Amino acid sequence: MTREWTLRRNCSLSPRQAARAYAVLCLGSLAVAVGFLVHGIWFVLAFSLLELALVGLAMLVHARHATDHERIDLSESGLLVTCVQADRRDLVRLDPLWTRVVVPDERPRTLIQLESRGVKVEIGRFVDDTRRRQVARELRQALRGVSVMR
Amino acid sequence: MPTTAGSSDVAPGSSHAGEHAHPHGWRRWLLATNHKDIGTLYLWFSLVMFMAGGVLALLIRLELFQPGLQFFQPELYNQFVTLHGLVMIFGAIMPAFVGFANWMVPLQVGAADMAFARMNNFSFWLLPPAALLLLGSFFVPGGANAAGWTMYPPLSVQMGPGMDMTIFAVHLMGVSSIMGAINIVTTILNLRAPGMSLMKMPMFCWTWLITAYLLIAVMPVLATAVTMILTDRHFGTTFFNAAGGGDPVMFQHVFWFFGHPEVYIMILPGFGIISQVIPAFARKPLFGYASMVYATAAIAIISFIVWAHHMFTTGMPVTGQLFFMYATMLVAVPTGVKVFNWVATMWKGSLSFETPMLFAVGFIWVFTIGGFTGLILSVAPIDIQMQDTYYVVAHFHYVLVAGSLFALFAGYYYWAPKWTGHMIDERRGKFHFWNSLVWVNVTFFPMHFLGLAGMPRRYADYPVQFTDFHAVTSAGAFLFGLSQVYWLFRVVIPNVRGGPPAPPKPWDGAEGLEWTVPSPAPFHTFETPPLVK
Repeated sequence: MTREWTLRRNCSLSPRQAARAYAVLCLGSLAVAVGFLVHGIWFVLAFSLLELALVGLAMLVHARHATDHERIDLSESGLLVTCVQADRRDLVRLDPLWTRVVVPDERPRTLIQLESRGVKVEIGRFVDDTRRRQVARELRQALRGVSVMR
Repeated sequence: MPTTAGSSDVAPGSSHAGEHAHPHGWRRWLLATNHKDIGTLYLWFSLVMFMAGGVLALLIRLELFQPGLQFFQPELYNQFVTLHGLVMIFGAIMPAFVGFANWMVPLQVGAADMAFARMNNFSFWLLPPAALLLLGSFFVPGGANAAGWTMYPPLSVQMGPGMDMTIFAVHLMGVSSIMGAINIVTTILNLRAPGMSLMKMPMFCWTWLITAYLLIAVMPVLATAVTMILTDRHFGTTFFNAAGGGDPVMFQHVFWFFGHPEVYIMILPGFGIISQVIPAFARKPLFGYASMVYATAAIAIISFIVWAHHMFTTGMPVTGQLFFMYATMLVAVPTGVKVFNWVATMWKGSLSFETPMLFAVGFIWVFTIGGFTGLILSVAPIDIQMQDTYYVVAHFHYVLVAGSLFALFAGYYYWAPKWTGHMIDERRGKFHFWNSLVWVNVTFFPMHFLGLAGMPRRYADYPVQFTDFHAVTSAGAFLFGLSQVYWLFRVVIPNVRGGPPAPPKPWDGAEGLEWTVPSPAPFHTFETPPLVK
């Protein structure tokens, strides 16, 4: 039996689409700048490059986090929690039989806590309270199923 | 018709946690990173600048009430004219639309905030020093910039330190605009709620997305124009000095390559507001949504190939005149699509005429007048006659005051209940609308006749034959100004202080995510995005 939950940050453009949007912007701005350069006015190109560098930096900062997500895999081999934030990827393997799921209470923005033999993991930062509670309940039920099976 | 309180239907899955503490006092504003707070800052700033620019306008009209020089010498008069333009364009209209974007774009796309909250703060706080530089330049030796908002050389190269202050202010405002545009592009493209595809976006977001692209494309050109003046003034270059091999007409090409798209930067978000308001009060979806999007994009693209219609009198080959004439006329096509779509949206709609709708309908009428005179001015032989006359002044005030400003008023009356949590007194709103509509026409319509009769712009004095129309224009201007003072003290401030509580969706025909959150919108909204079906 394998179950998985993916909790993803909302981002309506993939990094590839964001790159395309940036390319369109560069194309427009540089076309103007090159037009002026041909007529000897190089200032526009200098300002355009400066500005596009700033826009590119902003989009890069944003795109780094576009694919942030948390993934929980429950299988025969264990409970694997993967947290991806920018270029950082954390993997934690927990023993399903020893894992305790703390369902978030009514206070806003409380994360799901998974505890197993002294290892603690907090998940659910990319979804809202309702979805967090739902995932926590589903996970708890699935873990019960694992212990019954064994 | 306003709906009753309590008809909120918050989108499932969305959360509006306004429960936790947020900063108070001056820190809340100085260190603001919340899009609503920054939007409020922008709106108050633009209101202050609108009043400052309005005072300058009234000083101009005071001098022009009668022929002869009564109050101001021409040098000071020219400073008023220049600063009126700069303050209104860079201080009032543009920041007002950015204020609307800050408030409404995240709410409309279901985002928690703008993409770059700290940069948002910085882009606002660049504006007050820029405003101080602009207005403070009146008090330096030689006074403020008197070369007109277009800053043509050789005048701008010869002026005193007031010109340097203007250049620095324009740079600051340009940087602020670029950062605002980056934020808006990134927010709209990346932070849309799941299910909100680009072609499901509210029109206000679409028009702002296209405006932000325009801003990013043309702001380097403005920066270039003013930097070249600066180097001509202080660093020995002769870009615009014919004696040194330069060309003053080149400045006009550079400036208007920025300046014409700038005109659309000041009106496209207004089109977006009108496209939100009309369907709400016609109780029908916007007619031709896709064509509205394409028309907006078409206007933006055409704006890059029409700049030289501002320069017909500088001497241009006939082929050049024809190209720029026909290209300019082409703008009427997508603009016409928009106007017809608004009218078609109202056609057989269940119309009601609350203040936002009055301003929207008023906008269509008066903006169309401004559009038509633009079309007339695009005809090269006519423009050569009308260049730098009051006909041109009438044209662009119909587009910017009766156009952009009326759109801003429509948006204000439409969204203010969401901002303040209070309904606006309809009687006061309507009083403001009818006074604005009447006096804007009394002010600017006679300017067409003045222009046709040959009255040149930027003159402090005039022959006696122009007296009557100038007197009517001045009277209209003072009453229009008074109407805005009424709006500030009898509508805006009372609405901020209190009033009947606004329900989450005060207009029964309004659509969009912004109406799913309570009024006033909590400090935090859509911390996790709603699902759009």
